[in-house]
Amino acid sequence: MNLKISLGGDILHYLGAVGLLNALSENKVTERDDLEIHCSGFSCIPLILWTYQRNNAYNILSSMWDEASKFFKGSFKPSLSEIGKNFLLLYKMQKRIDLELSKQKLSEFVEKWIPNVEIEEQSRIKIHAFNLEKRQDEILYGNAREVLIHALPYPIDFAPVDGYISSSWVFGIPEGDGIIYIDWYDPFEPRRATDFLLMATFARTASFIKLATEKAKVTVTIRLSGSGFKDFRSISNRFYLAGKEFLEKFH
Amino acid sequence: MVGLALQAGGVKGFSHIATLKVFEECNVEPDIISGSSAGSIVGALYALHGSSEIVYKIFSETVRKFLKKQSTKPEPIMNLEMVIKEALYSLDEFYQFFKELFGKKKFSELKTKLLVVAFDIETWKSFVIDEGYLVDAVLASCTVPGVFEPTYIAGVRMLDGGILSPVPTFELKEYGADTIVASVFEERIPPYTTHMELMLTVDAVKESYIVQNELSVADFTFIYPVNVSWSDFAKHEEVYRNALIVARRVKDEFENFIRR
Repeated sequence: MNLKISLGGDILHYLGAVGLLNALSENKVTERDDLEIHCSGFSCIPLILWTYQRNNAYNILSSMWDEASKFFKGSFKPSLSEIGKNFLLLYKMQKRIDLELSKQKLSEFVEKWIPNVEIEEQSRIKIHAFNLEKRQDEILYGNAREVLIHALPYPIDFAPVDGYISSSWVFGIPEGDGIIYIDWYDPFEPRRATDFLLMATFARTASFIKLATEKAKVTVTIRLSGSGFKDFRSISNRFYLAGKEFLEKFH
Repeated sequence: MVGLALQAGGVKGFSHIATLKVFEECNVEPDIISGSSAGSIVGALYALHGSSEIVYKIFSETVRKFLKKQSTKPEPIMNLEMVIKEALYSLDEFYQFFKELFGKKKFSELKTKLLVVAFDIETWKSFVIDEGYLVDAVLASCTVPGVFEPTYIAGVRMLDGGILSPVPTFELKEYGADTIVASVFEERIPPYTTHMELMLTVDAVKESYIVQNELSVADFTFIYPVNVSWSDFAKHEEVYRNALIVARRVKDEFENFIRR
């Protein structure tokens, strides 16, 4: 029986998914030949690091956290009202897309933190990115840094890279037998016209997440609340517990 | 039971009248119609009057009348009112349009069963309306987010049904329709030069995936290639004329399908 585990990735907090991988590893799940782990957006970072630099993946992610929270600022405060403020700002500024600048910034970030390794087609990690030109979700292979700069861009802070954006900002989560995702859609009282636009587009993503979780055999939801979710240790611990919960439910 | 699902899409909704015309030319009547946004306008008018010609006459006359009145509003999505107000158009401004179309008619007066779909802001789910006053239901279904002020049904604010159910086929299936015909438009993903437009492009991609899923339960689909912005109501005649050509091209195929 194949085991396909899928992770969301629309907010920075998915860096903590290294905790989930540790939980799976403790139970030898990561040694299974039939395992595939599908990820999108930010969950791709811990997955690549854990696969290629397992011994110090946690330390790298922990060091990355502060810098990443400034670099990916639009995804660091996961609340619809915060995103609504950014959305409003985008509307006011009519900020133009700068394809080159976005690519350059993302390249600098991944070159600093991500090893220069190849992700083979037969690899058990599957990195999803959304091809806007072809309007389809794709699994990317090749140089890990190249793959990541295509899987990370999300519309509020970055332009698409070669026409690719984060799949998690379209579908939320790739389909899988087991799904682990952060539910951060907080109650939101729309006030401005832009808030209603924002609500409509997130409702669409929420409907895709619902479809994916209905198809999955097991879903573990991490509720994002409280101040504990501002430090990396708490977040990765929460993912570790989610991994344990997943294993209990799956068996 | 033959169900007909009419897609949301502003002025593109005039294409659905061509679908209804082909139904008439094949002597077929839908047993139940579902619609979101503009689809609900056409569906409700047809369910009320039972004639595609009357639907076209009433809808186009009302559009022309309101186009004359409304001349100063700038393009939606490019207006600073969006920054401070709930919507570009207040309820008072566009309520009249729907009042003109439906007056005080109720669902109970309809000749054909009708499901009008809106989006419930509280639950983030589609909400099916099939009773009460038509004007309230259709108005709720047509409140394009950011453009029109949300309205209330059952004490809850509603938005455009096209958000989650652009082509309400699942709603027909749930009601018991065993043959589902859909009337839809070819997808057009808008280009982007700003981050805001990129968000809207991504949103349009999401809509196309929702439509794809909805069409997976449709048995026959009329597809109209409409290259017109949803808000360009001045082009309603052109949209209808072109749709008639497209619909008649597939008329034989439709007739064979429906008579099988």
